[in-house]
Amino acid sequence: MASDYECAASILLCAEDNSSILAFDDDDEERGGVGCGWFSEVKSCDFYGDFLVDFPVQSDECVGLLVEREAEHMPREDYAERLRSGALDLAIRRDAIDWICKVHAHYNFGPLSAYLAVNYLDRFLSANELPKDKAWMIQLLSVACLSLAAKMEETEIPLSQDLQVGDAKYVFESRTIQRMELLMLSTLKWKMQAITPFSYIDFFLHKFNGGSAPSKLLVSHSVQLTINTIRGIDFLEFRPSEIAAAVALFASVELKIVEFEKALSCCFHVVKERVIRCYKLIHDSIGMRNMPHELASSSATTIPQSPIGVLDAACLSYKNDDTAASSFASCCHDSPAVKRRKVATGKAATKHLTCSPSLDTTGKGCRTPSDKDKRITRLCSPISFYLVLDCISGSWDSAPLHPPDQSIELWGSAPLHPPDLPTRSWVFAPGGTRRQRRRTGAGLGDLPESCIAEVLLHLDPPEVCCAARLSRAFQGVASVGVVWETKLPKNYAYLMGKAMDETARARLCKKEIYARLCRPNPFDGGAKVSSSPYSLNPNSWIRPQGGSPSR
Amino acid sequence: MIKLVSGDGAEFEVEEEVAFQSKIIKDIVADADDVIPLPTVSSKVLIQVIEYCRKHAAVNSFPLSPSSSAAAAASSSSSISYSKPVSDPALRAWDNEFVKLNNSSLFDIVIAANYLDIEELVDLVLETVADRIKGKQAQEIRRQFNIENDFTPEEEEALRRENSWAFQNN
Repeated sequence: MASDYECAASILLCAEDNSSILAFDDDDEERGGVGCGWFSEVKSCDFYGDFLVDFPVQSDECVGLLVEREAEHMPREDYAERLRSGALDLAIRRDAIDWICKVHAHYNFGPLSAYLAVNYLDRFLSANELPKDKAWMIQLLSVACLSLAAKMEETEIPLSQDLQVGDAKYVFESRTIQRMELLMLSTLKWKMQAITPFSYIDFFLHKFNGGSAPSKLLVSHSVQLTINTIRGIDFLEFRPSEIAAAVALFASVELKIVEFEKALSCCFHVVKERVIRCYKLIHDSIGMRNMPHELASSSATTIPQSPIGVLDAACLSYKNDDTAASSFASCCHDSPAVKRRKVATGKAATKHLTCSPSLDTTGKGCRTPSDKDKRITRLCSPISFYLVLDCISGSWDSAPLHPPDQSIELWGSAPLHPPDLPTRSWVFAPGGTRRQRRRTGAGLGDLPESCIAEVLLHLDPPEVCCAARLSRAFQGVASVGVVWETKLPKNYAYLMGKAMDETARARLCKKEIYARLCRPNPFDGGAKVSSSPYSLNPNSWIRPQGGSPSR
Repeated sequence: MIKLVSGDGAEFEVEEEVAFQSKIIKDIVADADDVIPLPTVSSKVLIQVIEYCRKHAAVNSFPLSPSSSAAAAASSSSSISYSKPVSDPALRAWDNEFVKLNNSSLFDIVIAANYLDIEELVDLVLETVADRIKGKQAQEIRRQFNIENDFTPEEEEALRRENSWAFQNN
């Protein structure tokens, strides 16, 4: 039996950490009738507390290992400080979390999904500077975070574009989300099975409870407290193990299961002073003392920061054993056939998505990429994605988007697609959503941006510049790096290296590079001047303008 | 046979190999019934698209090597060479005739083809559109392709300056 679990775990999960996190012991005796009953009773598997009851508690050694590795799954150290000082926009994080929590509640995902999503968000934000005025990017980021977290944690996952419930301002096509997910995965170095407080809560609760299994109330209260920590930036400086210890301590003390001092004395693997600080923080954030525990636990939420937050607080309230199961069943899980039909009808009827292929349901669409595919992938991928890349990583080349080998299992287990799928698709970048079809028939501006990009690929540079002056939509597409990359000579990086220094080069977009190469450029320290772009461009659309030949 | 239902309710019965020119339909059919509603595609456009698919399905099913058609029959999942360039001169000529349509019909087709994920058709139409744009002034393109100028005069001037490098020799 134990070996079955080992085997299942290795198939279903990333190779990373699967033995240490799940901590399957060789003896399986602790799994008794409780477990079997649980599976038939609570099908939705959305309540982490129940999940915990079912598994043997981690060994000390295993927890030690987790603690050693948890720093790999945290945002950078200066992240909280930068948020506090305003170097990073707090509102971005708050909006993203609001949205994640809203959708999380809508689909009744488990608490770990929410925590993971926010963990991904924080890690991504701490590694990348988001451009300030790109509201849609925050939205895309939130979708990708939640989508990845759901894929890691949930057993039933809606299509990634179906995650965009409510009246989101921007609606993204599944390919765009997928691309963002890939960017995310590579940024987070594929460490998606993050170590969170949930990895430890059970361990500490057992410890505080004198080694026996904690009560359901205690577990659910702890889970709720942990979820409440995700909004506060003050908690960012604590390690997951410290938060878990503090949460378990707080819940245990509050439910009068154990004395504070006694419990603190059995906090192994964590720095006690920091646990105390975290404990105080939890205490302050709840702002209630000496409440009877029924009251305290049901109202133990941080003050919501927005109307959405209020709703979340209501939805996330932990006393949802029965209601959760029923609303879960009714709200999101259609039979596969219905889901499939939604691909054909529901999608097209949606307000924003007038016309969108969605291949996100199965791996059936994938095939081994031919050269043409690669070209298409490169040329016609969603424009916003390139914008994202241009904005975030500075250059397309520097973002390796292929998963390392160890992560291949992930492709098999979750509906994430390998990176080389054909990617012609709609994009709903800003501007795209506003366009209305005129009565006089479709105009060129009504085409999806990926199509406009492909049209531009067939044009010469002056014609692209001319197209940029047509309308905003065209201007957006015409300044995207991928359109210009095809016009640049293959060795442009080398040429640019000759003509200017590293820093100046990094600031230029592909279009500017092209423009720059079209002028006579002094190089090799001004000793020589490049000839005209005549030689650079096979189409040679600009005549040499009297620049002296280089030799 | 697969039944396609256009947005205005007309039904079209087509052979599988014709419908499977569209990758999205291929995917949908894999585990749904054989009636596929396409609410965003009008019957006028759908007729044209089916015409294209029929032609290409017919041509594609013959000259392929036996191995690739066997692979096509064996697995619905992958690795058929969808994306080979159209090499058959007769088919090319047919394609060229096919796209002799007015602009807005072409756009309707490309929107539908993009929706249905028929790569070759999208390529074909967009290349045609690009050919029609070439060598024209902005005003002319706007009029011809029904594009609304949503720039303010200031923005337009700024853009003109920004892109002036491309026109300095013209």
